[in-house]
Amino acid sequence: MKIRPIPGLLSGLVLAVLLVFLPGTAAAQYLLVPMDRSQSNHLRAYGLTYSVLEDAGEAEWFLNYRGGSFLLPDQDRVRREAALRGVSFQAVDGGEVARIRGIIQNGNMDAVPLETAPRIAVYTPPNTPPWDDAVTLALEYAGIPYETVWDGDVLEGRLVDFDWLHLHHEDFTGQYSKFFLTYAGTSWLQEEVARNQEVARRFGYPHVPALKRAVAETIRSYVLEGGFLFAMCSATETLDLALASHATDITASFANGRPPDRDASARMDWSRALAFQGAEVQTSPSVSAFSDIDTHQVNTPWRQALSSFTLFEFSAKIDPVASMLVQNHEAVLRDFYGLTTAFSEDRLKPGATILARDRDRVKYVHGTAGEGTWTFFGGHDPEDPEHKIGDAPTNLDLHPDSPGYRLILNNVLFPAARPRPLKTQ
Amino acid sequence: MSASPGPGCSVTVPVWSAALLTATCLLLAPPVPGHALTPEAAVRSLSGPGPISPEFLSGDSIPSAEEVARLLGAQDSRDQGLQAIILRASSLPTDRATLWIQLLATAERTGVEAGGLAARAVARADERDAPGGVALLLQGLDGGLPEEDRAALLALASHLLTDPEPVRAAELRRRLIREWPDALEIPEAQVQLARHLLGQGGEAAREEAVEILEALLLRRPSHPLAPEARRLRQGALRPDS
Repeated sequence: MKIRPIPGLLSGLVLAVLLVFLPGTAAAQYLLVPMDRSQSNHLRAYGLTYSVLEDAGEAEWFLNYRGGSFLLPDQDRVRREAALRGVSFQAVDGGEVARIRGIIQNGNMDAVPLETAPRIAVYTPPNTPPWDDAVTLALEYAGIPYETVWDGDVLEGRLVDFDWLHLHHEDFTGQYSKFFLTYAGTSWLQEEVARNQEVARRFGYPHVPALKRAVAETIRSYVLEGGFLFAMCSATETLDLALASHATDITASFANGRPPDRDASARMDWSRALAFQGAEVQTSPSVSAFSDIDTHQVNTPWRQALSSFTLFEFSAKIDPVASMLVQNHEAVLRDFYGLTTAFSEDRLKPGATILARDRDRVKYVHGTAGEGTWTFFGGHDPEDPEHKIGDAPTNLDLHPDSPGYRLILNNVLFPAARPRPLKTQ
Repeated sequence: MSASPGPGCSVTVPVWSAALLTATCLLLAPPVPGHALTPEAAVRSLSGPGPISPEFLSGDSIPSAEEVARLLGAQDSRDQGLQAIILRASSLPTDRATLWIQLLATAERTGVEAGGLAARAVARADERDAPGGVALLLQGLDGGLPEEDRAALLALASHLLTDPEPVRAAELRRRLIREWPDALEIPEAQVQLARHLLGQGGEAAREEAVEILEALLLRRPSHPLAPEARRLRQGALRPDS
């Protein structure tokens, strides 16, 4: 059957009407997963895209186009997965995709191919429930598979099996998050101490701080050799403190049986650290903070109030990596506490790329080291601003469009991308 | 059928839930001096189905189960029957009120014959004889009721048996899903059946639950129960589930 072409505006209108009213029925070549406010489930859209990659399919990430949309192949399996996950999509044909590419070409946007499903590891102690870590919550909710690793796995070289490693609220200084003063009698802390000490003994380290420093060094090597590291909460600050303290002792006596070095701050070797430099270490065992890298000091009398933080807009064509990490449907996000909430700007190394900030408080930062990259995101749970120990887990069914959780999931898909080489680095 | 539930609220809701919503909104809105919230006052604030029978507004006459069934079973008193259910539900403790709210949902979308039958069945269940009430409903299903009414009655029967006889309730839901796949009651029946199966444990039950939930999600991805279905499915698919 021949159809006489309808010229100009009318054909555009007909196409638009078809796209709006027949998204699930028209046979098309692609499915556009919009990530602006029209998306019904932003978080599971990442899982849908991941599932396409996992199935050896290809996808594209349209940076800055409708909130960072995804272009997926139009296949029955993809449509089915989208329906099961509650992800909205629009069927688009080659002509519509060409029109979108034209828009992308002419604006601050870019199309980045996504080629492989990254193999994901979450560093977490055994038997830890998944609801105390925003990343595992996000991965579970989005339906993205991951494996867990801990100190033994890291020291035995298992990190080479993974493209992406996530750290959360671990204390790599080996001081159990300085919870000793408040929670010394609790069974969970006693179990944590016993578990860590057992691993230290098994691997021949004299105490837990030495074990954790070795783990931190292995993670650093993983990054230098091309790994993608994403850390949140206290793992950000303490990883660098552990790396920089190889020639001194910054830990309280309850952790290693001897008092810390009085000149610890002066003896830190920041050349080993990934993100920070020049910090003043908090060596007092009675102060529940690690250093002056953290701007909010949530568990101290001088705690700073929460505000909001703003995502930077990068040039998608020049800085695709930074652009990927800030894709969002919101630009200003509510802040949230963690043992490390945000980073003091004057403690950042010069090469770091600030992705989000609140005045001189850096919330979200990215950098490269060797062949790999690291991204640090302060705070514990984007949808639970004052998360406390024992709080109920965040129910992401109530936050399917969480802009904070989107930042986490941007990091998960980022290693799947094959962007052009950076022009600014 | 809709109603504006009162000061401080601007939503439009079905009449049966408007009474409950009125109570909720009054918890949030500034109190009105001298205005005590009674079931009667709640019903007065609704623009529901016609005038409320004066006998229900005297303050001391909660309609009996028999009265509700009588009103619902006749065309000219059906609307009063619906209001009587609200009054009766308002006077009962939560567990018993739930039965009558379920009756309201059923009676609002069935004809008078099915509505009267449903009321008699709920009355039996309210007297701790849910199997007796379900027997009434199943007998009615064999009669000449309209197709859409039969699905609603079967859904009500499964509700009545959920607590006392969960396995039989699950069988009724399977029948409902099989025989009336397009009925309005299907999504809730699917979620309830999946919950039951997941509660039972075992690989076969888990697989059946996932299949049922996926059928709901693929057929009605935007249904209000779809988020709950997704949550249940995801939990069922976890390796440690």
